[in-house]
Amino acid sequence: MESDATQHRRFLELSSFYQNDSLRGEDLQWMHAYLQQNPQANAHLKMDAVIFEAIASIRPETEDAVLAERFMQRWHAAKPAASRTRGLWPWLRQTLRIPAAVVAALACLQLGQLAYFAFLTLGTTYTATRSIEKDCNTQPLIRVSIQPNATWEDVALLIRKNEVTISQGPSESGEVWLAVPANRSVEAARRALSQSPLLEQVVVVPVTKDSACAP
Amino acid sequence: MKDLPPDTLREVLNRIGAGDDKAVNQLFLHYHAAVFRFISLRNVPTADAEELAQDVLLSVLTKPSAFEGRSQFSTWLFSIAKNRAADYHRSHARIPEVPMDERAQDAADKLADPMADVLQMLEAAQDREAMLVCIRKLPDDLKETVMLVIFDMDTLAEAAAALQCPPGTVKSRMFHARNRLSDCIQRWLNGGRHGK
Repeated sequence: MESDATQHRRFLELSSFYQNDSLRGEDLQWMHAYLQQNPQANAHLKMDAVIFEAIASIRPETEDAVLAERFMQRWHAAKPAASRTRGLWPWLRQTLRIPAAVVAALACLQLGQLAYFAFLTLGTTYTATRSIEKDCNTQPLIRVSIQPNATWEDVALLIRKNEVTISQGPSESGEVWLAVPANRSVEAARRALSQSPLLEQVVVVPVTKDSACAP
Repeated sequence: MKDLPPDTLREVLNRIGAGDDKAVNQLFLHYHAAVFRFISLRNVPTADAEELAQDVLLSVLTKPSAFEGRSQFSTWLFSIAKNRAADYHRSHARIPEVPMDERAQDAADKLADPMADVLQMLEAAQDREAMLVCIRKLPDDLKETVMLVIFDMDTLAEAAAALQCPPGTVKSRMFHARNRLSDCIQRWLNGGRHGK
């Protein structure tokens, strides 16, 4: 049997949880019984309401809208500069509501098309140039194997930098045959290309009739 | 103030990380008042508490990834607010609270039923300011517990989790807080508004 003091302490410990309706089981039954036996204890239950109102009365003096505006100004001044670019991708996804896999697939398709058209364009230029030349290209070609993780942009830059053109390829195994302009040394071009980490193998191969004069 | 649901909070923090102003505004509107109250209850003057509450939220929002989800977001926010309020008092060389001495506490705890009539008087006088003064005089740990349990209406388990202490400690703090508030209110009403 609990003493009065112990019961009173237990009542004070639990009364707030009784009032916010989170008391369950034995504690709840005990509270009901205690309040029935000690009706004057009901006065204590009013205390929570007074405390609640007192805490709720703690409000900023400045209007909410002014505070919010002031905060946004501080936020704009303080936020990391890179956050806009970091946020571009999530923003795109959020705005367009398309899954990442679909976006990735579309991007790959687009890149593939660009590469294909770039290749066709190179071929056309070559054909057009060749059409006003009297002779076909008879210089040996350079066969290169492209690293699997190399990007098309990097390979295109490498080709441009070394002033060679694509004669054939890329094959399924990632091989490309490069033509060196007649006024340049094939060996010098091979050495330069060998330095690139984008290429696995750089070999000089004899030109075939098809690759030398194909339209 | 209850925390945003975990999924919503995660989404909002991600959007904030991406620089989304709407998400910033959403988080500000949800938490600012609570952070302000928390700081204000630590006896920081209103104008400074407004500024400090903004500082707290700003420090959180500029590095939203710093929240690792090990605790409730509000618990994390309040721990930062607690440090900022302590820094404020250090820099202003103020004593943030006036804790009741042990003897007075014991006497208050032994009162059989200190509040029954007093609360009726308080209600009649409609003097909520007295209660606010008394709440401000509580030690910080009791203040926090009262705020969580009575104002935020946390369950015993929620309050224990937020305060990172056993449920028994929460109950004990509520008991002491009530007794101290009772004693303070009695003295207020006996001494009058200017006699405290």
